[in-house]
Amino acid sequence: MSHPVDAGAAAVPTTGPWRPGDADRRQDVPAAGSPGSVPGRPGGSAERRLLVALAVAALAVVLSPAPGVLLFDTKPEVFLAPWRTLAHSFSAWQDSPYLGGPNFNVGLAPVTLVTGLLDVVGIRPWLIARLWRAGLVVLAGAGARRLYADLTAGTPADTPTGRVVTAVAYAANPYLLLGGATTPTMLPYALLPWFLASLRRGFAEPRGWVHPARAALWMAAMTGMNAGVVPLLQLVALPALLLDARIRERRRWPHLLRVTARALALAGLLSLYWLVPAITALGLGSAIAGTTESLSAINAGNSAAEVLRGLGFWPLYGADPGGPFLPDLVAFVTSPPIIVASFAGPVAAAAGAAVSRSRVRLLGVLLLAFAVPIMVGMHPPDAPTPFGRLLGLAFERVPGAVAFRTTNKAGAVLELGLGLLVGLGAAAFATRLPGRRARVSAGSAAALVAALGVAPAFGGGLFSLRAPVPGYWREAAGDLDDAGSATRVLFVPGDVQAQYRWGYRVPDDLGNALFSRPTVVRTTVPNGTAGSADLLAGVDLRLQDGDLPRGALSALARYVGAGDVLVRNDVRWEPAGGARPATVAAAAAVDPGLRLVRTYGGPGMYTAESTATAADRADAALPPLQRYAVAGARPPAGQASASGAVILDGDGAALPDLAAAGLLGGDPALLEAGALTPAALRQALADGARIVLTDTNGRREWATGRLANGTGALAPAGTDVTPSRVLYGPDRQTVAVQDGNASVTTTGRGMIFGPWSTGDPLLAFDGDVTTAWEVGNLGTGAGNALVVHTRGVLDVPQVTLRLPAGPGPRVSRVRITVSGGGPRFTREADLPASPAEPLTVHLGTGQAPARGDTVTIEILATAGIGYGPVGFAEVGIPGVRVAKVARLPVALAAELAGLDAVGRATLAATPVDVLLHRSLGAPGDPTDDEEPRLARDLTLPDRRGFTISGSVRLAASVPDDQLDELAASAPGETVPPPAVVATSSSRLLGNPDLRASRAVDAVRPGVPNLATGWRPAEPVVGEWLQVRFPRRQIDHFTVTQTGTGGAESALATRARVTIDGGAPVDVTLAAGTTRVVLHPTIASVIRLTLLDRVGSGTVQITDLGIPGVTPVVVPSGSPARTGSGSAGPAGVPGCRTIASIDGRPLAAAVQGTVADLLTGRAVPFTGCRGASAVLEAGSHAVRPVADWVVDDLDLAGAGSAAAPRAVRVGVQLLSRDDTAVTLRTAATGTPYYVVAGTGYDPSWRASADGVDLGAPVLVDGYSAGWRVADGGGHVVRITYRPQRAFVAAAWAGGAALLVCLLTAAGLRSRPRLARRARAPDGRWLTRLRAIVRNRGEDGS
Amino acid sequence: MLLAPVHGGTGGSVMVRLRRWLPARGRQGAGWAASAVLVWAVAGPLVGAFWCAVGAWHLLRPPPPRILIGASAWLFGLVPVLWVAGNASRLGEVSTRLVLDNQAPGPVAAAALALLVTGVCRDVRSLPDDLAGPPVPPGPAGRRPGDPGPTPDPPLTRPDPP
Repeated sequence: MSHPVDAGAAAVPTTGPWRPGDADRRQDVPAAGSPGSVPGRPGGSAERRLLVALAVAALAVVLSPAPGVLLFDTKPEVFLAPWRTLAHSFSAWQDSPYLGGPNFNVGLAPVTLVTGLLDVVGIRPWLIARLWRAGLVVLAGAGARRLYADLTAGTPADTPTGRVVTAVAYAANPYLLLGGATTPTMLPYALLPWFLASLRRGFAEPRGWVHPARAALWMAAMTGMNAGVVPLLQLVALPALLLDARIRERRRWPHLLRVTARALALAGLLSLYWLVPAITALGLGSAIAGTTESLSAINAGNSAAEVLRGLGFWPLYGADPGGPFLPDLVAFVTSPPIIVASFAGPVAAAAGAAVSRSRVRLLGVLLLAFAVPIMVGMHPPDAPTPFGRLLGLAFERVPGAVAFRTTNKAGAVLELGLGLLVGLGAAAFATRLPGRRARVSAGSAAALVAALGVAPAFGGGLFSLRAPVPGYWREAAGDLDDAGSATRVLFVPGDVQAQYRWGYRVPDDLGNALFSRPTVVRTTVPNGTAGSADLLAGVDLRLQDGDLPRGALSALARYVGAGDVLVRNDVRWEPAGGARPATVAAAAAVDPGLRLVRTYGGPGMYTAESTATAADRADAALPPLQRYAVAGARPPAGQASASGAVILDGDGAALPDLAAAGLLGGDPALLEAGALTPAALRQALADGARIVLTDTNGRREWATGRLANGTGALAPAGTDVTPSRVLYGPDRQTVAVQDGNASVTTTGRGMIFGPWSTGDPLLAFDGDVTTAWEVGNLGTGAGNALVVHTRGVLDVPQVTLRLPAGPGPRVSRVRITVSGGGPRFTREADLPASPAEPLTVHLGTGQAPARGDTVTIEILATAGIGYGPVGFAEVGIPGVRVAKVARLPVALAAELAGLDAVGRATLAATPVDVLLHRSLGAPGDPTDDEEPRLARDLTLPDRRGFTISGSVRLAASVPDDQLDELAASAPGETVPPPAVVATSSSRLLGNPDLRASRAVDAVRPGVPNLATGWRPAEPVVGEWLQVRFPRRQIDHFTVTQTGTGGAESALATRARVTIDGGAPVDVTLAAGTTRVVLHPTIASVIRLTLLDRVGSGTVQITDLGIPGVTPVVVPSGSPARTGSGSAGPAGVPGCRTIASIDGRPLAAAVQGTVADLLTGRAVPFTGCRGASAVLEAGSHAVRPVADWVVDDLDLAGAGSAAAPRAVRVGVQLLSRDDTAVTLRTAATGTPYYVVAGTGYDPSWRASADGVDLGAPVLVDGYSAGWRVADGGGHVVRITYRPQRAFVAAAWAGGAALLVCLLTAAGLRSRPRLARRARAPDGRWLTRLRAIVRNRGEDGS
Repeated sequence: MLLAPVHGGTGGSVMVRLRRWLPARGRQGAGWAASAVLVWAVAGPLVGAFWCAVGAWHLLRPPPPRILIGASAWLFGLVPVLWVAGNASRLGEVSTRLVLDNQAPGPVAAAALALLVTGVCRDVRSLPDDLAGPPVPPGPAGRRPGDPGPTPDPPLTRPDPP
């Protein structure tokens, strides 16, 4: 029988039956010519021309988008600084940019070697990236073609059509634009077919090593980027290959397993250079994996349908306020033609399987059968299949398995299966077409569909990352590099991932790509060691919240060895809710330890999206980069005296508080109590260290997608707070405890995309209507519940609920259940829309109230528009008192209490300070009010006297009339006369400056002050303004607003007027002044309740004009009406009780001005009349009072001021690289700490003049350090121990590479060769002749 | 089972003993039940139920393997239609709701894949080694391309257990 074949297949011997193994025997001859060509049946000239044309087309597609712009797919430094990256890759520790951490990316080295070689020949980085990508695409296609040719050799399916179509299907599909679009995935993808082809050839020669060696080389060439996750996941192709060989070719299992084991063993040897450091970095990798994409996010999009069309990779389906995560690829989910075309792969594969009769189809479907379940993984995330659940268990419980959670990375196996089936189908289909024209037509149609399926590639979708680096960045990098490499460069602010307004949105920042100097940047993902991540996060969070004390930024810079701070005003802060550039720039500008050296770029370059608001304009006035020099900067490695060191009970987040309290003079060594052994603690005390107790190291969940407002509420010990920056055990942490006669918990889904600090249910029990428990965003409010457990059965006659102020949805119906004390009582109730109207739900039957020990308030329904949360501002249950308290760490006090007599004597001479700081949250962010009041439980190790200081502000809940009374005590403040009392239901954010009397004030008698006004809390509707005045006849009054109802200018449009509590009258309000006409009446109270509003922004009533009553003004110098003491001209008079300690009032002299207080600012205070507090050993309770909010409370222990001052001594740096530091310390005569200046890891070791210094201790919040007891000068050698294993592994890998190369070249493969090599004469020349002759006989 | 070796192999004696012990129909039923459990485990209950139906079909009157492959192709062709139709109200949106709120395409694709794998495995097993010769020319009138053609399914005419 004859059959039509293409020209390229004319040379294929098609006569005679084909037997399994024939092709293999032919292929056993080393290939010549093109990689895919097989001697005896090379691709025809037409096929070659077509392949070349396709390769050129691929290159054109890759080169066409944005010529000259660096589009890339992995770390930018691979293309921008390949040689520097290569140098850093060959180490088991990477210092920059996260203060050091184990290096799990050693596998990047081979890639940077290639890009480096391209760099050497003068190719620009952008072109290197394009050539690299084009090369991988061509390599992938060639590999698929080769595998196809091998599999079908000698069969009718071995046609040029089949080969070319397989190559195209594998090299051009949606997967390569999405899951396979990065080098760590693309490189293994390109090499998988080569690996499988080599391995398969080995099956025909089970005793040989040539093909296992070749397979191992291909496997090793996939490299170990990202800890080799992708090559390992791709091994899912092995069972398919083995089964295919067993079933279709009837290979014997022992042979198959032997060859496979040899290949994998050799690949393991070759990969030792990255395997060893990857294992060392297992902990860091797991920490990163635990804080990046969640399993539910990963598995949301990877249904079988999505996976089979090559998609399903979660970023495709993600978006944030800045738009889709992958804007160039959204056509895959938004454009119906492209959606349909993207399914061409599986449809064509099934059709191909139907058309073809080739037995090779078996391998194709087996690859699919193994790949698809793996790639589908745990989809759908809320109800995974049993296999998915098993995977989930493995990810949770098997160490390191979480690295494999993105199972979509096995896509190469899937695409190879599809490609083979499509190729086989095309080969069979082509033979059925009647002529060349039909074939061309069919081919063109197929090409069109295929092109449509990857259409986003033609618009730049091949690359998801862009780096159009502006010139000012390069200029800054050049300047900073020129300034010397001894110190680091600190980038501020931190980021979730690098995201610049000029178009760069990449997980890896520019530090390593543009700077020779090591850089430091905080990312929300803990890329460095736990201590480093904690220290950087603690400072950056307060910078982002606008709450960083002066001097804290420069202190951080000094501690991390940064000589320069680079303020980046061109970051896109909006998506992650970070600080505005003006906030960050202001924090740097006021830092006394920083000096502005230079700015880069012009004002407004990429610093603001618009100039619509005043805040935008402030941003737009800034240059994109500002370089500050750090005063007193020193290199990272150094020497700090042990005397004066700070034993910090807390974590690195205390650095700002320490700086604010002035405890960082001389930059003392910071020792964290949780990291000290009891012996080290005693030693540190004996050395003359001081103790600082703090409320840092809070047990709370951290958000990895947010910058400001980046934590959840403080959690009790025992609750899971993953991911978190918290260190050590619960007794070393600040944890939440509930104070009162009840405890409160929640049930239900809580907040989606949390954590949020307002998820704390105790915010509904704090007596402050400006705070609220929030839950159930994105429409998930119903089903959530508050559960109150009382300490005993009590009567519950009623429950009062008050909704939070603010726009958006609200709770509309609840079910209240009382249980645990007899009959269960349940009642449902509807809630009013207005937050100003609390709802009281009476419980019980007849005269008998409900009774029990558990009250459950379940949300049944919500109302309103939007995706925001719902919740309660206040919940009142008679007899229930519960409040949240932060309990400081207790372990240190317990340890100190257990000291012996000598130790206690030392402790008595040791200064002990207490620094307490309220979590302020982001100013103006109503979702960030975790801690409206400072309440603490702290434990002291012994009896101490303390000097008190801190800062305080007025509470948001202070009524308007009381604020006016305070204002009246200060000359210059405008207040109504005593006969006129203005009050309101609320103030925006509780701001005292927006109180009711601001609507009745005047610039001079009779002229209202329209620059001030009453601003009610959102959502405005239901809020009221009331003025009480001397009784008089009135027939009208006026209401003046500045708003117009447009953007940023809201307008109240309707209001209800009540005169002396009589019948209400609804009136319409307009922009400007509205005259409200009344029936002439004698009255003394007017209340205006707002009923409706339009426009965005806030409503402001600038004047409420009552004829003959308002506006009013009190001239400067009026007599004070409150307070008992005297103060300066504008000071706050007298001693004020601002808090309590153990129930006793804490009287303080508030040192700021009334004006400061009335504008909502915090002001400093000291103990009243210089009084100090004496506190006994043991636990103490710091509690808030009603009218004052303490921001900071510093208790300076007796002797604190006279404590020994720490000294930092300069060291002579002899050498430094990523894994070793050698320095010469100075003799001080007293013990000191040698600081490595890189992240703490127990694998760091140091020796002084060759004498081992033992295990390291955590110093300065992040660094490895060692105590040198003799105080002498030494040559200290600091090394990272795993580097030795890495070097040994690299050498072993190198040797294995040599052996594999020789073996793969065939020098040790053939049995005859082996036999001759074992010739009895044994002479080397004879053996060499035998080798040469043997190769000649083989024709190779 | 579909993937059991036809000749030789270490499992041969076990299979022979099993075959003697179990009646043929029982073996087939057990095989299909096992495959249904496997499909349920990796593809969920919907596809598992579908696979039970396919198993029953095979036990009653086994279809030619190429019917399964053809059905697979049609089902794969149905998937994009379900995708677009099920997301008609969401088109233009970029969200995981496109997948999570329109779950029909997933099970259909999984079912199609199961049919494809089974069909091809059975088809390959039914082909003698030397049948992998020249492709089948277009069949006579009335026969659809892709049908087995003049070569009958023997020597394996019995219904394949899964």
